[in-house]
Order: sequence, then C-alpha cells, then structure tokens
Amino acid sequence: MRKKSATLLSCALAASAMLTCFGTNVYAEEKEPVTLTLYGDAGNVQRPFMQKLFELYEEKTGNKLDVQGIESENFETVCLTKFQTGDIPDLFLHHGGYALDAYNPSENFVDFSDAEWVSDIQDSVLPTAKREGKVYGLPFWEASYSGLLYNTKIFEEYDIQLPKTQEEFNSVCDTLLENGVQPIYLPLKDAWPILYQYGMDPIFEESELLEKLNTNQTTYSEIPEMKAQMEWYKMAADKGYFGKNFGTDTWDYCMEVLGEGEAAMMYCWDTWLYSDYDSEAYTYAADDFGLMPAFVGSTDDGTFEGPNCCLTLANKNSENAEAAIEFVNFMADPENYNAAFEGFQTAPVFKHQTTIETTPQYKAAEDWIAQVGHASIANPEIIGFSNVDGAKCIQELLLGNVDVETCLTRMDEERMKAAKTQNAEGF
Amino acid sequence: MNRKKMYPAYMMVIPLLVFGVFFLLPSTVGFGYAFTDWSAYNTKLSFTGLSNFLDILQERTLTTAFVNTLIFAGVKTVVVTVLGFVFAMPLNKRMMKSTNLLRTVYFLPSVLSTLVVGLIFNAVFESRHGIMNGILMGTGLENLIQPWLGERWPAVFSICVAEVWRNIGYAVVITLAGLQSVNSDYIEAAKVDGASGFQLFRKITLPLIMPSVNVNILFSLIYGLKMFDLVYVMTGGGPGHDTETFGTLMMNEMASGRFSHSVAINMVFTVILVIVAILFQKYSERCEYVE
Amino acid sequence: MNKSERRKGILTGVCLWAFSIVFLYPIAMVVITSFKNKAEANILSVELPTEWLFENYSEVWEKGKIFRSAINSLQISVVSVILILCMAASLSFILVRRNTKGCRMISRLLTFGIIAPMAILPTVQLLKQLGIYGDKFSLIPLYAALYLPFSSMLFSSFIKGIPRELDEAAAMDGAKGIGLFARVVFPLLKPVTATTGILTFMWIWNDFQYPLYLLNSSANWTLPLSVYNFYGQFSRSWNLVCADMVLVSLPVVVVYFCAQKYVIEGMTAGAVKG
Repeated sequence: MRKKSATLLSCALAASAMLTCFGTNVYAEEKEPVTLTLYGDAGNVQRPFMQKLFELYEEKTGNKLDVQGIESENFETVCLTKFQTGDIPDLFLHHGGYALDAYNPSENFVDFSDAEWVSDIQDSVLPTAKREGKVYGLPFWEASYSGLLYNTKIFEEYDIQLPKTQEEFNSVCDTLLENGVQPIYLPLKDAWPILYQYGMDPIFEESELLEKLNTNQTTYSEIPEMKAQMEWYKMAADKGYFGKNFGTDTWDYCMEVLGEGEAAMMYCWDTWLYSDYDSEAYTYAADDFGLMPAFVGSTDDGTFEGPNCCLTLANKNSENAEAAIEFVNFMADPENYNAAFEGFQTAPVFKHQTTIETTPQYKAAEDWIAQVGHASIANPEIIGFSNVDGAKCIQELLLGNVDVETCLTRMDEERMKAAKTQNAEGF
Repeated sequence: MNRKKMYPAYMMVIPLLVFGVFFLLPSTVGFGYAFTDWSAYNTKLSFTGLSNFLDILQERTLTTAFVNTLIFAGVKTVVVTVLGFVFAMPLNKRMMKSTNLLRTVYFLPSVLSTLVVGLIFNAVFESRHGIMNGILMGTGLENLIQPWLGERWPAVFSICVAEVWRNIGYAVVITLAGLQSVNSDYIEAAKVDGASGFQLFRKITLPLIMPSVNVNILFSLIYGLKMFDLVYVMTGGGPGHDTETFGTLMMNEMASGRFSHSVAINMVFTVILVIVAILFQKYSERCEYVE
Repeated sequence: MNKSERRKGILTGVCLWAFSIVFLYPIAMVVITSFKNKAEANILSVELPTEWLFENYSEVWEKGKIFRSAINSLQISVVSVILILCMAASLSFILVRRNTKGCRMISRLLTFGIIAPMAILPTVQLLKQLGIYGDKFSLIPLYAALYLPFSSMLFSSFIKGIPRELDEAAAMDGAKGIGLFARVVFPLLKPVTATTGILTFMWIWNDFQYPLYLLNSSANWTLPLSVYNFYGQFSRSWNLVCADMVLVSLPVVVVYFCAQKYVIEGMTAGAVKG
C-alpha cells in the first residue's frame, strides 16, 4: 500500500467489548445486475483484502465492479481533476481527513452517520472515518502502525541497541555507516514516501498550536520543532544516512533494498511487511524486521503514527447510488469482512473481526507505542496540508537547492495557497 | 465557369465549423475564464480582472517552467535538426543497399507513443538497474554516473535525450526529402566548375534544402515548447519543481482546483507560442529572401 | 563508383548501422523483457530470458483490459482519420483553388491551430455544455479539429501541384463543386491521402493527453491510457509492463511497416513546401 495520504488517528487498540447486535444487511436482493465504478489509489485497490472482497461481492450479488487503480504518484491530482470535471465514480477510496474536503463530501457522498455498522467500528478508529462529525465512509482497512522498520539481524550483527533518544538514533546511523550499511532507505523521488508527517504528529498534538496554524496566525517557519525536523533531514542527507542516490530512489525498489540488507531501516508501517513484502524473494524475511519509532528530529524520543484507514465512500448522486450504498453495507457485514481479511496480519478495525492477527512487530513494540504513539494529525487536520507538495520542498532541501528556512517558507506557501483556494477562513 | 461556382464555399463549412467549435472556441473565447475567480470551490464566477495573471507571475515555478520549456525546445530543435542533417546526408547518397532499411530503423521510435517512450527511458535512466549507468560503469566512465532523474540538470538532460530519440526520425525524413529534391544537375554542373565538397554543400545543397530545414526547426520548436507527456511520465515535474514545464504547471494548477490560474497560464503560454511562431516566420522569410 | 568511394560507402554504412543500436537497443530491451519472469525483468537488458514466458501476454491481455481498449482506440482513430481526410482534402481544395484574400486569412487561422497548445479546461467546459463530456466519441471532433491544420497543409501543397487546367477540362463537362472534387481531383490525391491518413492515425492512436483529461470510465479507455494505468498498478513487474507496451505499440508498428513508403516519402513532399 502506498500511504500517499496517510491519514490516521492513533488508537489505544484495547479491544472493546462487543456491543450492539447486528441488523441484517440487505444486499442480495434480486435485481438487474449493475456495474459499479470504483476509483482508488492503484496500491490501495490491490490490497489483498480488497481484491478478496471485490471477488466476494461479484460472486454473491451478481453485480460487477469496474475498479480503476490510479497511479499513486498522481492519485490526488488525477482524482481531483476527475471530480472537478464532474466525473465522479459510484465508489471512491480515500484516506479522509482534511484532504477529503476538496472532494466536497457533503455534496457528493452518502452520509453514513446513521448506518448500523457505525457502532461496529473500533472506538479508536471511528474518528478517522469522520469529517466534521459525519461518517462519510467505511474504514474497511488494515490498522497499521507506522514508524521505522529496522532489520533486527543487522542490528544484532553490529551489536546495536535500540535507540531511545534522537541522539542515540543518530549514533545508530553512524555505527551502520561505519560498517558500510546504508542506515535508511528514503525513496525521495516518489515524494510521498518521505512521510514527513510522522514527525509532525507530536508537534501538532497540542490543539492550540494546530488551531493557530489553521487560522493563519502562525506558520511552520515559526515553529522551532518544524525547523529542527528539517534540519535533521538535511543533516541526515549530508551525512549519508539516506545513501548516495536518494534522489533517484523509488518506492518500487524498497523491498529489494531492505530485503537484501543494503539498507537497514525505512519509514514505513508494520502491516506492509505482511501485505506487500515478499519474504520468499529476499535474504531477509518479514519476521527479521522490527518496528521502532520514527526519529526525525522533531521530538527527542521518536514517534509512532497510529492506524490510518482508507475509507470507502459512496456517490450519492449516481444513478447507482442505491447499489453503491449496498456495496458499503456489504463490506460492513462481519461475514464478508471476516472472509476478506482472513489470515491477514493487522490490528482490527471492526469489533467483530475474528480472522486476523496483529503483527509480531506490533506485539513487540506495544509498550513503546503506548509511550510515544501519536495520533495522525498533520495530514488529516492541517488545512492545506499535502504530503506531496510539502515533500517536494523537502526534495529541494535534500538535493541542496534551498536551505532550511527557504524550505519551510515554501512549505508554508504551498499550504497557504491550498488553503486559500479552498476558501479557508483567515487565508 | 467562374471560380466561385466551381469551388463553392459550402465545401469549407463543415471543416471550419469543426475547427472553430472544437479548437478555436476553447483556445480563444475559453480564455475568458482567465479573468474570473473560477475554481473547484467557486462555481459562481465573478470577474476579477488581471489578478490571476498577477498571481501566476509571482509563482516561483513559472520562471522554472519558462526556463525549462525554453531549454527543452531549444536543445531539441538544435540537436534534432543537426542530427537530422548528419544522418540524412549519407542516407541520401544511396551508397549501400541497406539505405531503406536504415531509414526505417531511424524512424521507428517516432512511431511509438510518447508514453511508451517515457516508460522506456524511465527504465534506461533508472539509477539502480538502468542501462545508462550500467554502460557508464562498463566503459570505465564511472565518474559520469548520475542520479539521472533525481537532480535537476541530469533530469533535464534525460528528458532531452528521450525527446531527441523520439524525434530524430522525423527530422531525418524531412531533411532527406529536401535533399532528394536537390537536382543532381546542379551538383554536376558545380562539380564541372571545380567546386569542392564543402563549397558544393554550402552554395548549392544548403540553400536548396533550407526550406525543409526550416520546417524541421519550426516543428521541433513548436512541439518542443508544448512538451508535456514525456515530462509527466518521466519526472512529473520533479525533483521539487525542477523539471516543470508550462504543460505540467497547467496540470498542477488544475488539479489543485485553481482552474482560473490554469487557464491564465494556458493563455500566457499560447501568447508565447504565437510570438515564437511569428518571429520564426519572419526569420524564415528573410532567409529565403537572402537566397 | 570507384574503389575509394565504395570503401567510403561501406564505412558510412557501418557507422550508420552502429548508430542504429541507439534506436534498436531500447526497443529490443522491451521486447525481450516482456518474455522474462518478474525477477529477471527487474533489470532491463537485452540478455535473453532463461525461459520464454509467453503467458505474460495472456496475463496482460486480461489484466490490462487490452481488448476493450484496443476496440476503443480503433474506433476513435479510424473515425477521426476518415473525418480528417474528408475535411482536410475538401477544405484545402477550395482554399487553394479560390485563393482569395479570405482564403488566405483562413489558412493563417489554421496555422494558429498548429501553434496553439490545447486549452484543456475550456475544452472540458465546452464538452460539458454539449453534454458529451466523458464520452469516447467526444474525442473524434477534437482530434479532427486538432489535426485539421496540419493535414490541410499537406493537402494544400499537394493540390498546388495539380494543374488547374484539369479542373477546367472537367468543368467543360459540367462538373463543379463536390462532383468535380470527388471525381476528378480526389483520385489524384491518393499519395497525400495515404500519408496524412497514416500519420494522423499514428498520432491519434498514440495520443495520451486528450484521453487522460477527457475520458473517465475505464470502459472508454484507449490503449495508451490503459498502459498508463497498468503501469500504475504493476510498476514492479517490468515483464508485464513491457508486454503491455509491446501490445500497444504493435498495431502502429505494423501499420508503419506496411505503409512506410507513404509515411517517409509522402510526408515531406508536402511539409517541405508548406
């Protein structure tokens, strides 16, 4: 999965007590078969549980799905263009949050706030499905934890202890460098995998600061932690923590680089190891990796980002609206989601999820997550935030085109420009 | 019979109507949107005068796009025209049997979709397994190894290479046709007069094929300035905004919902292209006159 | 031809063939990679695969929605090309033969069509107004309008070479207008019609920008658009991406090989004088 718009809210993940009984979902009525169009990020529609669900749906209802995976790099661009020119699919996969506002949810999507399945969503996940108090989409997704994946075998080999502070982390990188191992693989060329929002979560956890930023009373440039984060990136790039060719590194090669031990760490999420990573193909298997917090300079003890759900939204103005709503209800049926997620390794999103297991990486880091886990705030809550626009500024910083101040100023400019276009107040 | 009757105007109606409605209308009247506040979030339009133009002129990326567009068009024009010449000259002499086959081979890339070409060169310039770095490594030119698509100038270079690769065929063919129209009697006559090879070329061949060279230049220039697909596929305007062109800029603005900005850039771009074309027209008229 | 000239000829031939590697290598690379397995395809090269996997093609055929896209591409390109040829031929005929001030104005206006870039958003608005936005057939008049100027240019310069006395003779027999054009002039335009037809066919078949902006439902996708989306989904499987690229390019390459005489010889005759 490409977490292009990683939108997540941390959850304490305590499996809450089962509650509410389920009404029967109506989805298999005898009707003319319809074909529903679905747009989603190419990586997202390829998720194994999604593929299984699509199959299940076509089988059980006789309806067809026209699934269009849109290239991750241009996902938002292409989708916004399509929406803005009136080409709106029956079903849409999106990570929600503030970015969803660009799609005008109240006009375009079905409000599921009163749907029966709302009560089946884990309390910790439910907020990710909401926008301005309304549930627009079903978080039919994995609940992954993000941070830094690291190769435990390499760490053992060089006798490296897990770092607890930024300073310790830097010396871990130095040790790896001394031993000829590239510390971190950063697929800079694709922009989004910089995932710089991880480091911003702890900064904007303070709601007052977030409020000030969202009303244009402060800027990134004025926030010392933001500056510290960018300075760290620059320092890391200069010291070689990201290797020599980070400018051309792409997400497509991350498995190979991690799998062959060429690099020891990567900003990523635990579930990826079991959903995408091909243990058979490389020297190191999924179980050889561990999860530690992302150390990026913004906070001393690192940060984990909580689950980040991709929502399935239904177009309420489509002629197939009814079928689209039924599709979402179909997904929310425990029988169907349990079938689709069977054997998948991730934390549960639904209360009646019985066929999944959390990842060993999550289990091992559980206590640590409780300490330094943060809700995903930057991406869903900062007005005008775009992890691609910002990442492009960071690209320029790391390639040496601009300095830290200019980089932050440009990030601010991009953010304000987007906010202004969206008619946000104060911009 | 008079001309009006023989060549009735009604035969032009349909073509002109289609051209007028589906090309001229959007490219002229459509620019009215550039003077409004049209955006994804604003569907009730109001007149805003020149404010969109003032906004886009302040865009940092506009300058980059302008410079890149000029570089792409300039490099492409020069290299393609020159190489077209270099390959067309020997091919014209029919010194060997395989001339036709060679011509076919040289034109082959021009038949492929820009998208396919972009993907091919993405693979060629890929820094991990791409053949470009492989070749440099193999030939002992390690110090020329670059993060091709990951830094501004190497990326600009890579895009230029792909664009040239795709367009040499056209240039060769057009120049070749120009050469073939050169009457060999002239050459023979000049040879009898004792003209040397270079003199022959300069005094006879070059002036005679100047029109086809000019066609080459014009097309390379116009399509070079309009370059979009290749950049979109190879770098998407990145790293940062380093390889942005007018085409990708329009796309970005459109995708961010700033429709009127996008149309304003489109309009500026059209004006630039028209100016370039007029200047070129003046130049080519002059050089035909000189001869 | 004397000895030294022959030697020079051979030398040039060798050089030209050596250089042709630059054009052939990348293409060969794609074709060969399309038969490899995923792991081998990770490195794009002309090294032969250990095992030739023809099933890559059937996989791509299915997953890449090739058949449907090919039908769309074919419909759009063929209809557009026919429309362009009819329009460009008759328009140029009148423009050249009348040659009034108005006609020269129109020619200049057509030049604008070659120069100006596509005005995307206004075009989208136009199509929406006409109620055909998103329809694959909406591309046909757009392509017709887009390539009309270039095609007219080719036709015009060709028609200029046909003596007007021919028209006069036919006019004696009472032919005029469409009749005159269709029976007397058009048959003479075969070479330039073939050239223009093939060139515009290739351009429309290969075009990626219009479909990208203007087509939505994958049922309407053209082949290049299907490749683009396929690449988005399978960017880690270069063998499949390559097979997809081969499938998409095959029709144009075949058309080109069959009709290259017209492409290469015909194209320039007009363009040069234009």
